[in-house]
Amino acid sequence: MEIINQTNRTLLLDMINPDKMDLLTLVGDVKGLDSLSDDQMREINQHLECHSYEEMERKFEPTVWSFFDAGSQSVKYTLERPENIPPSMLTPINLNDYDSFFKTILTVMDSRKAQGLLNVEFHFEKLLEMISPKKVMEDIKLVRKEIQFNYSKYAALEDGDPAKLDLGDKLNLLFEDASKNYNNIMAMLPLAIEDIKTRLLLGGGGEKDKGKGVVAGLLTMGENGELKILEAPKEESTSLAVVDDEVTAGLVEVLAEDYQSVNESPNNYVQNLVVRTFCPLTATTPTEIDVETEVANYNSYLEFYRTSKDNFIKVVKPLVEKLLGIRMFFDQYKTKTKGMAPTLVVANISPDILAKSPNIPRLITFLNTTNSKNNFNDTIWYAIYPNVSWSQNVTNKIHRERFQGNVKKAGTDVYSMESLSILLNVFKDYRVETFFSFENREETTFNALAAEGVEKIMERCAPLMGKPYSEFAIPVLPNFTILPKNKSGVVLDSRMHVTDDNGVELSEAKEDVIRLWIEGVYISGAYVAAGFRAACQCPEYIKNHFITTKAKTDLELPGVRFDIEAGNNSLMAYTTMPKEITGFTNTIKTQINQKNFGWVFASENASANGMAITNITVYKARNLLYDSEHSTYEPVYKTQVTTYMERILRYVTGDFKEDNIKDFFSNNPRSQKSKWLSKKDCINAIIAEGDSVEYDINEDNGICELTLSFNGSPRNLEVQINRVTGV
Amino acid sequence: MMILVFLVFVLASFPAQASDKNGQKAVVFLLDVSGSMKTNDPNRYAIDSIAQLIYTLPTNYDVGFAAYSSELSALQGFLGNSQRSRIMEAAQAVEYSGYSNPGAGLNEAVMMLKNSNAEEKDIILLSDGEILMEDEETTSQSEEIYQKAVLEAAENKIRIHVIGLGEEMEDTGNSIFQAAKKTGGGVYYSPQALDIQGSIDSITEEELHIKQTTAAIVDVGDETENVKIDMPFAHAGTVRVLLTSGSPIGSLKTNFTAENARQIGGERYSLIEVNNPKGDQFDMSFEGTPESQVRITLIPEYHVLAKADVSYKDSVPKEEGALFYDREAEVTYSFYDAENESLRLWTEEYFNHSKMSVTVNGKREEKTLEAGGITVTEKVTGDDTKHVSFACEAFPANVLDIEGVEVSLKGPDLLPVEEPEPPPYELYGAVVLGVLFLILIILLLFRRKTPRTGFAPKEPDRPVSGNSSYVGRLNIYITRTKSGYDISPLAYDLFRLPANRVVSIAEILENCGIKEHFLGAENIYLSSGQGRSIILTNQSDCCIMKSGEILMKKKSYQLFTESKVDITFEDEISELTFQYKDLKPSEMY
Repeated sequence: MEIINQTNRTLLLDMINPDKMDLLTLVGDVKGLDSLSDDQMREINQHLECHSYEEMERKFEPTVWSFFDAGSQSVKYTLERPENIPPSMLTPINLNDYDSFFKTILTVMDSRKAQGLLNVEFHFEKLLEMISPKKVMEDIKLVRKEIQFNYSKYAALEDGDPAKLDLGDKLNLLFEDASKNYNNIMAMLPLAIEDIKTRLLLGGGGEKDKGKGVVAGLLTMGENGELKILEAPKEESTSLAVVDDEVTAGLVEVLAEDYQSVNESPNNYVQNLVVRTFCPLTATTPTEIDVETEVANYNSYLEFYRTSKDNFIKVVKPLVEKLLGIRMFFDQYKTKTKGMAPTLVVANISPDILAKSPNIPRLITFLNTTNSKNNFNDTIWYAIYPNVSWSQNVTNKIHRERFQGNVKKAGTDVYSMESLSILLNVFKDYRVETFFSFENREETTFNALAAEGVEKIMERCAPLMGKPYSEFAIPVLPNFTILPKNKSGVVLDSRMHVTDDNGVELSEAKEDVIRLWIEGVYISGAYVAAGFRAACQCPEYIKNHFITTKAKTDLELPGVRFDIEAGNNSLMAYTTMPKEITGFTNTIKTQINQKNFGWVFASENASANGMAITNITVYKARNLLYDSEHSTYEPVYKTQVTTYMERILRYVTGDFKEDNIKDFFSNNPRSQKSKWLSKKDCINAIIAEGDSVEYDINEDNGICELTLSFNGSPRNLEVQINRVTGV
Repeated sequence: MMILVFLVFVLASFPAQASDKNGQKAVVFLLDVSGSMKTNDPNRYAIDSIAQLIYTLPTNYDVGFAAYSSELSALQGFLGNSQRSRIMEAAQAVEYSGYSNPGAGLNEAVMMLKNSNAEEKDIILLSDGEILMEDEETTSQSEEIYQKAVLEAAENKIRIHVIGLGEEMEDTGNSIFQAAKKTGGGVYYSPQALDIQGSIDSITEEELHIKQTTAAIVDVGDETENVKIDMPFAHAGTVRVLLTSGSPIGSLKTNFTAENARQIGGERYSLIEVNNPKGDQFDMSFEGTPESQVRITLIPEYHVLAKADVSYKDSVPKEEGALFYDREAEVTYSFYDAENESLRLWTEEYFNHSKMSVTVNGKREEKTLEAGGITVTEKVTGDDTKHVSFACEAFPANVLDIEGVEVSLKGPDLLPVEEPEPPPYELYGAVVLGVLFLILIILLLFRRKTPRTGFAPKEPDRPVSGNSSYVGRLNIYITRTKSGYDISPLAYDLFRLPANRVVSIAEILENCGIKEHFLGAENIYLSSGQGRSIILTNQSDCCIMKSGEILMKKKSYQLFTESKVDITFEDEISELTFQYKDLKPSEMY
């Protein structure tokens, strides 16, 4: 690939973190400029170009801001840094693998992939418990075990021993992790909840004793031989706690001191909580527990935890869906030997803003720089436009509202069809193919597609059909369901109440179970489709996937002509997404095949070489250009082959010099056409078996008309010939 | 004969309700709920008829409800449009029992209306029998109160429309019906409860003059009925879609485009109130009882603002000695939504040939609406101002208010005075011309010999046109406007222009439908150039930049394909960027 070394650089039209640089800001004022300087391009790539999910996470640091609202006595979350709140009052929450919600969703995805179960078979509830305070406590138990183990070793060693220094480093890291918890009250809440539970209910496990005070005793036999448990004699001690050895005492001291130094306004309650959490003690003098206050605290902590977690999830869900989308974009490129790995340029700006008239000249200047040069390193080939608004009409359903139903609100994080059409109009000039998908909701999932077919989506895409830019618009359907709406309930815990005999028990009443609803997590199909197509551009990827067949792959050619619909290609190369449903009915499949519309994923039972495919495959790969002769929408590969050929032709012929064009198509074995023809039998051939390329030069208007025939179906390309002056 | 035609656009509208009329109307539905109704109306169709009435009434009606048996058994004071469902709650709560004391009911209804400041007041009384109390004394007392209330209603211009139900009311001369005759109300007889619907229809149309259109009558089968209704009332302020039937209607689903909507459903009726409907079709599906009929009625409402355009035709009068042209003014009245003045109303075919009364300076005439407008022609002899108001009694929609318009007519201009012919000084003239010619030649010779000074020759404003064909398109992005409005990207097809056409940026923007003025745009010209290029000539003081270079004033520049030009206009606020795109032959369509 000496001329065009990549054909899969993708522009993501969405915002990840408004605090980070965006495409418009980096392009800057373009008055009087046709293109950007190399320095500017380097800066844009430094800020926006990502080669992996991790790089994106590092560059954009997806963040949620939280602050406490004294007015409503609640925790507020926002994706944009609130400007009227002083920075000291703001807490940034980085949305990375450490965040419990994000981690939970990732675990759900990974487990589903590993188990290959359908949505209906998978037990989401088990994994969603990870968000509950109990799970947070379990994680901490692991950390504290490690701390105790390392500290005991640390304390045993002599000062100056190099091994002690190594252990010191290890402990520093562990304390750093632990301090993340006791540095903010929100992280302390699950600890406090579990702590109260432990103290009042002995951890809630084992026998239920209704929370009466427990006194340790000794099993003895009475004078008549009867069994008795006698209260153990108490040691006379003035200290609050008896510690079994010096190690624990040391650890208690270190934790207390660390808490004091890390926190700006420390208090005793939290300090004790931290110590109790990370270094559990045996109480000697049973400290009197004010049961009623503790129960009230427990209930209010639990309610507060639920509300804040609920608020958090509502705010963070759209961002999590974007991040998962990006993750899945990169995840599609799974190959043993790496070659042309997909690259993502994150515009980090809302496409609705990008599509405004004042901003389009900036986008044009950027694309002029990337796509109108004979340097193809930065060329943008694809764009991703997720979350197109689904709502069109006011639909008034008249019925008696016997039960509380969904409040149908307009999507808040969705982008308009109008902005998409404006951007497509720009992209067509730079031949950027745009994958778009509709907003994440039940109507755009596999279930809906399997039940209703593609007609509703075709109807919604109608404004983009029959336009000059239709060829560059690829509607992707359906979206992927990570967490179905009907299985998104999480049980946090139950309320506690004081029994008649001053004992404590967890309520078993249904209304006392504290539960929160995530309301479904989805991934826009456009990310996966773009990621998959980008992966298919890499010859190594194709080779790896077709290794079991006899098909040849040329490592010098990109996969622009790779037609996923042809033959068994879709069974050899498929997405990394697990299957979701049992499949489409034959009626729906007939409808999809008759319409030949859109980029359609399938969750079908299939096998290749005797191995069952448990992943989602690509069923159709079409854009919105309608071929009325064959009553079908055009396959996407035709557009990319045309683009690729035009770019190669421009490069090889020195910007379309007439003589060079003739050479390009000549039968000379060194001509470009002959080179391509010689690789006809490769799976990634540019001119495949049955294809042909003809050209015709119109001397009158100086136009060279290329006719590319793909299996007999022609596609025309006109280029303006560059005539040498004086000839 | 010389004819001049020119247009003058006017004209301020003024509220038609210059008096203290408020346009508000009030109706009280008075229902007999005596025990005999159990026999005459076992299925409680009378209650549904209340729904039919109150949901048909336009928004400018206040509606009240009263019911009587032995005494007043239900009362609901006047409620506005949004709260009418409360009337239905009150009506549905009544039970048929006891004697019949219409005196108590009518007296209360009249009192309610007396206290209302509505312009028109009506009572609709539905009864299935004459006054009947437990003994003669109380019967005659009730009768007395009834008659008194009737008289009071007549004095207060309250009309009472009576619907008689059942055999006992067959005699329309009985005392209950007398109330209608004495107050100028209507008399309606329904032998059976199912006929009440027809009586209510007649009252709304004949007495209250509510305009409604029956959009469909559906014979219900076993399956869900899907109905598509043509909606000629796009842009109406409100359209009510009322479904009525003698049997239950259920599972109603509708699909339409509108700003907002609400629905109210009962067992045998459903109302969809649609505000600012868009589009011309209304899809609905419902399930009814097989072999029953469902009637779908549309009741549109408008708040209207009238505007007038005046054009004049001047002709030279035939009679000699006339000082002024003969002038004929053609005034075209068009109608707009009162809330959104850019929204023109009644242009739909449905409204063609609809009748409307136009009152000009107190003189009323019937006119016909054509293509959404009414055109009136009249002779103008001097400056004049006319107050024009409109009335829509015969119009096929409910016009709740229509603002009139004040039309200023300009008197005709004076005829030109003929100049006396100049004396025949041909010889003198020829000499003068010869001298001027000589001076010109000397000046030219002198100029050729004189070296160029610092003054640039004055160029013509519009550059010379090119000879090549236009082949491209301009993609225009208005990046900043004085008004602050965002304007969507524009495209202008240059290839459609003839080769010799010189076009200014202002003309291009105007052709693209841009109303905003860009100072200096009229002096930036584009003409066709060689080699598929275009030539930009800057005659303005705008700052024009291309490829990092400022394009000088009074200079021309060749722009090749993909060239991007940025213009900052003379107001130093407005900015525009355009990109010249070359099109291939196949793209020029």
